[in-house]
Amino acid sequence: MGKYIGNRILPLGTQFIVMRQVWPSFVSQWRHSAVISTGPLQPTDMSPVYQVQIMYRLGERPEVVVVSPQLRDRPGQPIPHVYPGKRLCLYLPRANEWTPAMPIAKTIVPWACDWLYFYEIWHATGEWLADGVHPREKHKKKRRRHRPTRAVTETRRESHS
Amino acid sequence: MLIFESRPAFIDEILHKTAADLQITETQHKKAEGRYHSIGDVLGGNGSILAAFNPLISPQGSLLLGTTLRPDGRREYDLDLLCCLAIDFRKIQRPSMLLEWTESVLGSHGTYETMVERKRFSRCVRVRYHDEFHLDIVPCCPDGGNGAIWLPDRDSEEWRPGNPKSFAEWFQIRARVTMLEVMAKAAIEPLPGYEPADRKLPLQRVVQLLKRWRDVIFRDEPDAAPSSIVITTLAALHYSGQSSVYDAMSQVLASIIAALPKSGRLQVLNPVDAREDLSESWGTSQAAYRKFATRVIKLDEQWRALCEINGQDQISERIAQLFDSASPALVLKAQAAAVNRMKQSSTLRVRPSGRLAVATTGTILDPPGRHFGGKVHR
Repeated sequence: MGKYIGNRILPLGTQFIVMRQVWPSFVSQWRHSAVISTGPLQPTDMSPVYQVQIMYRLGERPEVVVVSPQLRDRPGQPIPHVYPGKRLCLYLPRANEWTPAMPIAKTIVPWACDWLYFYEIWHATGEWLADGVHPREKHKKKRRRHRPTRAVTETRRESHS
Repeated sequence: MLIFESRPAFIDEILHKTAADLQITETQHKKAEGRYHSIGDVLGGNGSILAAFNPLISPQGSLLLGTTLRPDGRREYDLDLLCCLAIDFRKIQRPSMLLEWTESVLGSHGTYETMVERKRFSRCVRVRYHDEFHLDIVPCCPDGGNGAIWLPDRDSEEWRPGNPKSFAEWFQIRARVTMLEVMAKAAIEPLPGYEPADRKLPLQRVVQLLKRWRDVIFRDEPDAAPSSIVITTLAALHYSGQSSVYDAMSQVLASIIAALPKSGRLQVLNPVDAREDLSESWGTSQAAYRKFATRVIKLDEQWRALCEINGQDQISERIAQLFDSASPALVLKAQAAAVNRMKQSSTLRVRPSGRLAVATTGTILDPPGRHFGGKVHR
């Protein structure tokens, strides 16, 4: 996933400690260069208890998946606002809506709860009703490095010879 | 506590909204009142052959009980009105004459001549207001006092006894709880900008929802469908004072099922006149009765499942299917809009248990785009 280039990055240890303080129902593990936290979110009294896992490597984008229950598409409509592998899309990366200076416990986790609330609403209505600007579909496509066309390559060879 | 913090409150809101979206509106109600008073004026006015009998028009049926429901597949309501004529029924040669006189007065009046339905109904004269409602005027004669009446039946040329006023009083008593009690028990904080569905008494809602369920499940077999009076009476007989619609319906269904006899059929007698078997059509059609019995058992299972299934979407979809209604999704959309408003004003938090709440403890849910601890920058 993407890396952030910036001055402020909360140490992994801080992320770990804050997670444990704010979300005691989450089990957080600090392994090598990553903190993995798994725990329950249940946005409403009617919702199932979702087990959510957040994997964070220092300086990279946190990856959030719903371990259970399995997220389901609607007939003819795939789940919106997910990256490949059903990783939740919780914010606009290019707008720096989340940076490694922010505690995951106070941003990513509540945003995941919010996402789950609106996921249920989407299931019933077919509309994603969460407020705000959302990444467009193009973020789901693989990034391709620009490769010059064959013709251009040959022209360059000719000009160099 | 917010509505989505309580499953019972959430379900009840959807049930109220589903029924409210199918019932006559305040405006339409007032319009109907104005119109039937006008009809009363014509029937009792100069030149009317009925004027000498002081015709008095009053609502009956679902309009009187507050359980109106738009008929399946139509935009127009059927509203029942009684037109009481101060004449001894024994002095009338044939019962059908009362209906003929009513048709004659309305049919010869400039305003109503094109609105009176040409088709002849057995017990009423229908006046149509396109795209709004039909007013079914049922002429009758008093039978002593206390609201007892004689109703003419054109098809059988017989007089049938009735007492809609007593029935309505009985229904009101059976409704048990008052609106004050219902509202007091709710104790739910309002969502900003979200207008909750208007409240009726739980028994009224149960009747509306059961009638709707009947319309949906017997859609292809309208002749086998139990009548509204049977449904209304069964609901009122078996209700025992619950203050939520969900609990009221649970009670009514469980109690009806417990009353289903092992052999023979359920008999639904008029609670204010035991001589009248409101369910006599089940006596002539065993198949219709069996369909009702099987389907009400199935409804009970589906109803109890609402307590167990998880997900706002699952609950709302089940209710939408039971009543063939788009209202549950509308409730969710409106609540979602309120949640967005709360996020924008930083009033929503996530509790340590992982629940959304309006609280003073827990983690604030600020939407992305708000600098952590700073101002919104988009």
